Amino acid sequence: MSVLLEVNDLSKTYNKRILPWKVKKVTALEKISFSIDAYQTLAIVGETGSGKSTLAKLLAGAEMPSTGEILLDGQALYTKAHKERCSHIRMIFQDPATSLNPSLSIGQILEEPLKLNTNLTAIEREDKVKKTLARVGLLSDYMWHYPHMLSSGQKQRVALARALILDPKIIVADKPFAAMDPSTRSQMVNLLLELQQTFGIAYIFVSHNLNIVKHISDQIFVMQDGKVVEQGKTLDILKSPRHTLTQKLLYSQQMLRKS
Amino acid sequence: MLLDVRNLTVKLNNDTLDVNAIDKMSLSMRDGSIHGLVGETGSGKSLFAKALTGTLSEKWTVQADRMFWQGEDLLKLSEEKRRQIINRDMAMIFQEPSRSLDPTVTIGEQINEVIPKSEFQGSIWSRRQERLQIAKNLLIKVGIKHYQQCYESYPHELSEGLCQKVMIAMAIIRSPKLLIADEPTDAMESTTKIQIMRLLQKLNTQKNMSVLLITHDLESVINYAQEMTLLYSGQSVESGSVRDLLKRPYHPYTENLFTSIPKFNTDTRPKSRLQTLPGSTPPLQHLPIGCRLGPRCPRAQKECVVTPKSVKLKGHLFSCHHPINLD
Repeated sequence: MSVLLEVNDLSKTYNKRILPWKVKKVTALEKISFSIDAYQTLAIVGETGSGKSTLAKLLAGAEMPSTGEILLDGQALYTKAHKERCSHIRMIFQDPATSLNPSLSIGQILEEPLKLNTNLTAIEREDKVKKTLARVGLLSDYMWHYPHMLSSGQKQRVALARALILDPKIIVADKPFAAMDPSTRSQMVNLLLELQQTFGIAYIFVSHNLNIVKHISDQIFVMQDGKVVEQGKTLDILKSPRHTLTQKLLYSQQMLRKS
Repeated sequence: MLLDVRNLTVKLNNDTLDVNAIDKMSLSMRDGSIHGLVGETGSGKSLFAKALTGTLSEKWTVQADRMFWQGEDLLKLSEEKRRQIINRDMAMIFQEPSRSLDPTVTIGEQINEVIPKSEFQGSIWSRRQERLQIAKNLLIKVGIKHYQQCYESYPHELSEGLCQKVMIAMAIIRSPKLLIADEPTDAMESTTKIQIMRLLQKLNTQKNMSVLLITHDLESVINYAQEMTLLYSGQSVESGSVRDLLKRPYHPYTENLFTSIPKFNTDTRPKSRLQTLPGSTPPLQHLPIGCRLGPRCPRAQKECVVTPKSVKLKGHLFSCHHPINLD
């Protein structure tokens, strides 16, 4: 199987101006390299401020990396090449209620990326929107609804539909299940897994719920202060965690008994 | 019995709409226990807390067969009397603690504000000293190490976990008999979450303070609560001790909720399908008649259009026409 996404020495430092002539460098993410295949899921866990959201943003192209490169199918991706990039790597955000524009109908929300990135005609676009809605398990009538008319689970489905509409290869999800009820969460997990099996999408999940991570991911990164402190196969790491942070996280979710 | 609520109905009165947001719900709490109230968003968990403390607005009407608080029916008392009892015996903490604190005032002043006069023993001249002492003791009690620093800071300078601890400190000032925690750890880091839950557990065992834990996080309820009540769309589904419910749920919804969490059936393969009910919770405008789980329930039959009566069996209280695991 060919490598879908390869990341080499990716890092991010922010320049913080303390005094007009003095600049302090803050490292949000230290150099990191990894690769991921199609049909695979990578989970990133860690505490607040550990740089996991920064990594997600760098991958999605919302931030410029300080060093390093991202290779997609062996070709380097540039931050400036938005058009090419956003059709391959899409992002889902934490709170669907705030990530959807309340003044646009669902149809318009989903049409926007098509207008910007493809040359489809209006009829083709509508067709595509309907198809994508069906893919995430919503009726095509929802095109005419506005976000406030939907429940939070349905909103997250719309957010997923918006990510799917350009047929991406990779979806980056920043805590997609944090604000969800258990039953809608399981529905969403099922949906994501189904889509992965049919379309071969690779997922990169930022999450702090280890139960879900254990269920859906193949690889796991544990991050602390911008560094990856532990990485490897999910099952191995959760079975025998080496780093204290991993142990602490597992313990705090009662997956490990203190001996 | 500390709290005994039978057939509580909370009705929303509107010009166009007349719905029972909570429909004949029952809940009873033992003295000194942690009771979990679990339900999905919009199932009326927070509404129950508001109905109990009498903080609902004019739009809502509350009816109940009985709402006994230590043998006294809260609904039959005068408003004044009821407020006194609630003021003395109950306290409440909310989700997103940094929002429920006043951002313009320091933590110290906010704590001073809630110290009741009855707490002071000395003369009026020593009040200042005494106040400081009480506030510090409280902060130490909830496990804040740098209490002096915390005392002088504003809410935005503290982390979410610390803010919640301050909220708890303010709630336990009169040592209430019941602490209502409305999603206290929602949207918190798992490591902070466990601190807050531990603190609640510690207060429960040391001070014999009962905790009503309102949450949708089933995992924390299973780990910390002794008893739980499940709500679905304002109807109580099943209640009983957590251990019994886990071992043998009678209601299909309960069983489904437990199996939908990957952890509890450890033999599930990674990436396999999780069990769920189809559809989503109905909104208030479109509540189904009878058992509100009906349209989503795998065992629904003709009788389910009539609201099921609650049945008591082996310590569980459940309401379903076609229960599972009976024999």
